[in-house]
Amino acid sequence: MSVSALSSAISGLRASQAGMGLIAQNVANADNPNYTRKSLESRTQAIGERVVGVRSTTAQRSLDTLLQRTLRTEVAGGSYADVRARYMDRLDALYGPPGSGSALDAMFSAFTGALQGLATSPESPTARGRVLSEANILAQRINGISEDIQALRLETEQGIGDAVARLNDALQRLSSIDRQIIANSGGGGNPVNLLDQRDAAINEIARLVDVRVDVNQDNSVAVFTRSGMLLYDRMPVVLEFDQRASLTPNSVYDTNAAVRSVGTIMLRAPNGLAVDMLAQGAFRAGEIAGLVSLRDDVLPNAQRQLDEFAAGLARSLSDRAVAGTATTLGAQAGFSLDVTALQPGDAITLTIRDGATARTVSIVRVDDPTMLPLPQTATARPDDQVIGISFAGGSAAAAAAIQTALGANFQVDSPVAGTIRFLDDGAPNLSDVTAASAIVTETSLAGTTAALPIFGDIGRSPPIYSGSFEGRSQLVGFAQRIGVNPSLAADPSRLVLIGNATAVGDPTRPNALLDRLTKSTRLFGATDGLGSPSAPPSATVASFVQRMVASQGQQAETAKRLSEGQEVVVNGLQTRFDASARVNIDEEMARLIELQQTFQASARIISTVDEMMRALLQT
Amino acid sequence: MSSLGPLRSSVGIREIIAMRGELDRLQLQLATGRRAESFADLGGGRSPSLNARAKLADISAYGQTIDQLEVRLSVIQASLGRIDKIAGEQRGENLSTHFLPVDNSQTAQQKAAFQRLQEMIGLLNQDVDGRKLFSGRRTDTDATVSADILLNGSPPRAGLRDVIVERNRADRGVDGLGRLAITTPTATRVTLDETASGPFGFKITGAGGTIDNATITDAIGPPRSVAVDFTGVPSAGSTVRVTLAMPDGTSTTLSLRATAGTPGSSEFALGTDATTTATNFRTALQTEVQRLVTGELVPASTMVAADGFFTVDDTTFPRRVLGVPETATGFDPGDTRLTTVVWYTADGGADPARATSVTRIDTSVTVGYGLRANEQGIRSVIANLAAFAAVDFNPTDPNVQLSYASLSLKVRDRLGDKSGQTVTAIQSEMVVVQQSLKSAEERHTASRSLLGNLLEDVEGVSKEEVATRILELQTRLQASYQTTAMLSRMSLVEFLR
Repeated sequence: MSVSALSSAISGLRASQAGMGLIAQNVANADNPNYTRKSLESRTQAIGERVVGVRSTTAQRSLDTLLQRTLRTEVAGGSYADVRARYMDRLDALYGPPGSGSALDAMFSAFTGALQGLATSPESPTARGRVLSEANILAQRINGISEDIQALRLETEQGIGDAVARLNDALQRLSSIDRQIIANSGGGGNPVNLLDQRDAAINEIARLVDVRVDVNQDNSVAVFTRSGMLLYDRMPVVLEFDQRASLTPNSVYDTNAAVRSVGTIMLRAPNGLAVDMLAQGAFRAGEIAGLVSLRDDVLPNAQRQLDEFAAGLARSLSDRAVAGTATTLGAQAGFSLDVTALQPGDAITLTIRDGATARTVSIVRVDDPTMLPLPQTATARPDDQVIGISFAGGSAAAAAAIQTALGANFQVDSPVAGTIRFLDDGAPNLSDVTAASAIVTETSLAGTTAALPIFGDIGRSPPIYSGSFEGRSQLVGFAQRIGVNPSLAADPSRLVLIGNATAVGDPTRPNALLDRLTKSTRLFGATDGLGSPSAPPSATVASFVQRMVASQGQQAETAKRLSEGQEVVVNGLQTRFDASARVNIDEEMARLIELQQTFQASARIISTVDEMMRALLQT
Repeated sequence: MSSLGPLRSSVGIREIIAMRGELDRLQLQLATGRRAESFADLGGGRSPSLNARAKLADISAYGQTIDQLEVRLSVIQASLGRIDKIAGEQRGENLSTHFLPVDNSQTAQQKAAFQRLQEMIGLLNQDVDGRKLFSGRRTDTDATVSADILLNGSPPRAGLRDVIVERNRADRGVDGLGRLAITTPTATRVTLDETASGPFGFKITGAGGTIDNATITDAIGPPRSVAVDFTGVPSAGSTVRVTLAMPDGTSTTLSLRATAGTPGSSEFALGTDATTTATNFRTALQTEVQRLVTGELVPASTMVAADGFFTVDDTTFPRRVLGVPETATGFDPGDTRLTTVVWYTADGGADPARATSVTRIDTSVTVGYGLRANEQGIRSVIANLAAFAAVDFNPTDPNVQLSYASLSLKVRDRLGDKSGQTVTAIQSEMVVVQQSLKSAEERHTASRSLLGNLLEDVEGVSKEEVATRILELQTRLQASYQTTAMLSRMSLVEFLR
């Protein structure tokens, strides 16, 4: 009897010690976020009906797996929202603090203010100098913002590279832990600490990519992206990112590797299969998806808006309208148009009736045949048919090309070099030419009108911006190259003097330039947040800059709200998860007291049995 | 929160960190007085803020313009006021028509006119902050040449004096009869004929009189000719009158009265028969025409010469006589700027002078305040002063008194001429501009305060509100700190021995 009591007590001692060991482990890891609380269950040891002691089972993890899965999904959403919010906040900051003199809108206002000053004192060299210096400051600010946008893009590119490296790392870690788990899981083993480590690796992956985790029979896991791409199943895939060292506004993602000028993530499966993950749209949430959306969507959109602004600023000042002259040829009526001043990128606008349909045709000068045909989005105007025509071969060749494009209901020719004549079909009356005009880019400082190329494309020679399509769209990245026309900087008097006959105190040109910026509305190309392709923003340059800054602020605010909302969700889930999975010191201490008492009691029993045995033996 | 578990990663601590961040943000708001440091943080106030900022910048640019314009306009008003006063002073002095030369050829009034001419040229050429206000668009150029060049010319270019002398010669004619001819085709017939003189000299516009034994015939011509045929001896007191138009648009009447005694001025002696009377009449007619030429025609000629000299712009050149003046019949159609000083040296376009300086002072308000010194109102004053100052009289000429008085009165009349544009009219136009400036400024002041309030609402923070929120946050934060500290101490660990 006493022997049985002794063995029971000893097993109690052993169980208590094991329990205390686990408590010590729990307490020691109370600070480790990847650690889940472990517990032991005591099981009665019995031989038949006879209880011979107590035995501890192996440690169990305290874990709500459903909550864990939800938490992982939300963490992926959270890190997506967070990385976007962080970058968009920085993007927004590029436009300057509200009300500061260094804000983009304030610099634009300073420029128009200088023009107003020049209109008041056209003869003053100080006023002319001020216009040029404000124009210079504005152009440099636009260059600066554009460069910063590209720098942010480069950061996202590097961020993607870094994230992909971390992802590969985590996948490797997952793989090695998973192998150990498989090895230790045989025979009902439960390698709780390895499971914790594996969860930590998966959590790391979940922050980067939105994943789905399936647990296999042998306790191993398979990890897929939510879009269904396998990342790990016994063998990890390897992700490769061909990071670029520098990005320009012309660097874009394309599914065609030959055209693509930014990095993409290639998945190399163990069987050698390679997949472009970005082309597959494999990343929907997580840090990588956030960075990709910033690199390929948010930041290029900001660049496009800035390019549109820069182009509007340059062209609103340099645009000159050329009117068509009504003309007839027998019964045929139409217009003839002087095209000598047409620069590459400038457009002739035709209003025609062809059969029953009236339509507007924009004939854009494109001398580079590789750029043809032009996309319909080449002009901001949504309702026009865009035709790119080369004028490199002179007006006769261009007229012939237009003739081909317009069809047999029209007659297009060039009776005099430099002039193109658009005629309807005359008597059959199947067509009409209702109007013909052109907007050309003034390239000369003198000119005959108020139009003045104050800003130009410093990257080109001559430094003229006309929105051309020679080799590439001049609009793309123009914000990076816009600058004050160097010949104007050398001769500021041209801000006032249209021709040599203009008097130095004539305010005509400064007033007209000011009106072009603040009063004349023009169409800007649609970008996210500013109009849509079917309804592009129509605004003055002055109001466009405000709308652009407001739109960026709005996007940053929305991103911030989303991120904050997501953080609340993640925090809530984390709290609930922690309540079940994390170590609670009080609980551990209470258990410690329990175990201590059990230990003391068991020890007491042993010493009592000892006394009883001694008494028995001494008598 | 049952217990804290790992403190640094618990949600509770994150809340405290968030509160701490909020406190820092509020502190920054209190320090800067601004709600947000980025457009994102401005929230719904973003567009109103951007808009208000742009408007404020515009208003400030307009404000600078208005300040500059106010200076310019006050100078313009002062100058125009002075020019008007100059004209008034000269008019007052010219009431006295007695020729009393101070240096043998000019009176004190003429000397004063020269002083005033110089003062006026100074006013027209003055520079306000690098800008000539009376030069139209050519704000960097003096409006006029100096008084000396204007009067005396700058070889090879003739000045006003030369132009006046030339014109006087053309109007006088070879024999000093004002381009008229006196003939006696028969012994009893005396005719006064216009000659082929183009625009120069006297033009006969009518004839009449009360005379017996003679007939007055007015042949319209051309050339127009008045003939008096004596058939006998007219009665004493009979008169013959011929109305003569002068180049400046005024006219004078030649009147000869028959007298039985010794004829005085404007009288002819009755003879014994028709022939002797005709001879006497002819002599008297010649004397009278010559008297009128010196006394009336030459002053008129001087005025019209000055008009021709001063009426210039980009397409109208100084008017000069073509050929030998005494026999000339027309003006030089060529580019007389090569031979004549052009007094107005600035912008002489054909468009309205006000349009030469047009400035926007509000979103939809522009004002035109340009001036040209060759505008009629200003030109008329300078032309009359210059003409008066340019003429030298010959004190030995018997008709000098008449001539001087005539010129002096003509100058006086023309300085007071209210037909056409006057200096006062220009001043009134400038007053309208000044009022526009003032009302624009008032609007700007109102808008500025309105926009300022709006910005204050959108971008600013109320110190009271922030202070209250800081207090509230402080209380919450302190409570959180305390409970956190308490909770972290309230662990069983503390109580185990």
